[in-house]
Amino acid sequence: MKRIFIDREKCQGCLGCALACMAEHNAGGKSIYDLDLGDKANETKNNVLKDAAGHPTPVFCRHCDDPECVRACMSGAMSKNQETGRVEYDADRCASCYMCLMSCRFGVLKVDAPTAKIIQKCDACGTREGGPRCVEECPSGALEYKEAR
Amino acid sequence: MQYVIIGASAAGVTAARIIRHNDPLGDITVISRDDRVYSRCMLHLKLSGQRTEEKLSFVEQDFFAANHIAWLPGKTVVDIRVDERAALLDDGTLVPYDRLLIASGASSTVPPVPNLRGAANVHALRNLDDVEALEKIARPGLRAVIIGAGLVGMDAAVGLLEKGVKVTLVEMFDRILAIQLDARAAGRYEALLREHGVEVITGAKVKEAIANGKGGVEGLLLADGRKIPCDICLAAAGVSPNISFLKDKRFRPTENGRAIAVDRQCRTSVENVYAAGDVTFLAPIWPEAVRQAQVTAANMSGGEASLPEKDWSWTNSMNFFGLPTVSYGRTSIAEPGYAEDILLDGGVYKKIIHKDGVIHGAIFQGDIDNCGVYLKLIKEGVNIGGLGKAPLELNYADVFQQAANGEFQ
Repeated sequence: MKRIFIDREKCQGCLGCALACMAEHNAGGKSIYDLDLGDKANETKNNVLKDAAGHPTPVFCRHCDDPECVRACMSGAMSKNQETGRVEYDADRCASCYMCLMSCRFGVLKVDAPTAKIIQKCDACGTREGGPRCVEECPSGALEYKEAR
Repeated sequence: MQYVIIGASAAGVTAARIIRHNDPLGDITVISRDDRVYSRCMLHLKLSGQRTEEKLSFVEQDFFAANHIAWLPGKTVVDIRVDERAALLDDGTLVPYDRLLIASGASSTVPPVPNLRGAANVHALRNLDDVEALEKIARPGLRAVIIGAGLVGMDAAVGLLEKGVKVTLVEMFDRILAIQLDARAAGRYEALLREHGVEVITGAKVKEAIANGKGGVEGLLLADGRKIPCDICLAAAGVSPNISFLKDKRFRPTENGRAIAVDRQCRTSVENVYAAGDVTFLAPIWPEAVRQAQVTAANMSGGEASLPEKDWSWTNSMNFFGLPTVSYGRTSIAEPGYAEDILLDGGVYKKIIHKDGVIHGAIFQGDIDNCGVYLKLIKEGVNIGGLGKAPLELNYADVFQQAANGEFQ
């Protein structure tokens, strides 16, 4: 399977990845010009977090080999796709118990702001040609989508 | 190879799926008292009318057929014939096994209070049948009293509220959700319950149930003399592992005699027999039951796996009235030497308990985003002293480590 590899030293904290994520998941269109930054229903699913030195660090879902979020899910909403290796989230099955969020020891998961019912979870941009858009739009080379070995 | 699994909930179903993956040709039989597969954690959503029965399932609709698993629903195992290597069912059938998994779960217990046990209108919230029984009788204006204000009691309260039932929660501890939360976090749920018309009585001891002369109860009598009238009584004061069918003395129980003992490979004291989930009393939450099932299934089907050396399942998450909370480890300071950092901001409450640079417990309420990293910090005993940040401000960037395969560590 492929993973988004992170080179934190290269990250400049521009949040281009966050914009890319929002644009790609925007129901109103995928162009950056369609993006409404004030739209709370369209949050980024990734995280760029700072350490004590203020250094920005992409903390993106790993789609783990043995995912704690899937183990914790009592509704069947979180599942590991054996073919693609991705951890998929089905909001329709989710019962908002937050056990996935509680169990992800990397603190990747968060709750959507408008309804507080849905988990914000990276889908690696689904079937998008060219892979995750955040990688494509990262200007500093901090992100690379490649085979995980 | 003949695999037999008793139970079709978190542990049983998870194990069946993995065994099928590991052994495409083995015979797998699942025997369950349940005649449907459903997540017990979602029962209150059926009671409240938010979910249909179909949407309580945590597996694909064709799970058994698609995985070529023989399912015997609505069957109870009454004995394990160790020498014959077979499970005896209530209908007299013997189901032979090469490897057996006991994932028979636990049952709701009725507290040992006079007149309570066996009373007609005393209910539980454990099985789908329990929900169906409640659905039949719950209607607006009726009064329900719930004994126990833990997670199940809370679920029941919220579910019955949605039915228009007038609810009273009676709790032995000095606060609701006493095992999961500290006084402040629990207090906010208590306030929300009261806002929704629930009467909450804490620090209460139930002295006896008041018989109604028709085989049921019409109220509870508390030790302080208060009487709580009710039409429906619901016991949510704990569960007891389903082990009564393990009559053979070779099955070693846990020290307290209430559950079946297993080792870190989830093996029981009887060869080729494993146990996982609530029946072991070591998996109080869903994720732990699944973890045990994964270990068990691997060991049953040719692999090797062990539970983590450090057993640690003191994690809880909840979401009542739209207020989310996650808690880890200890929720309050019981002895000297510990310090706590607290953040209170509008609807948000966060607390970190630490000692000598190591975090021992944390509560996140109202804002739980990205809080999972505290599970890592607590579980691994990470020394946060050198991270250069206040305990409340930590995130994964502070302990970032990427393995060669791109996974975090």
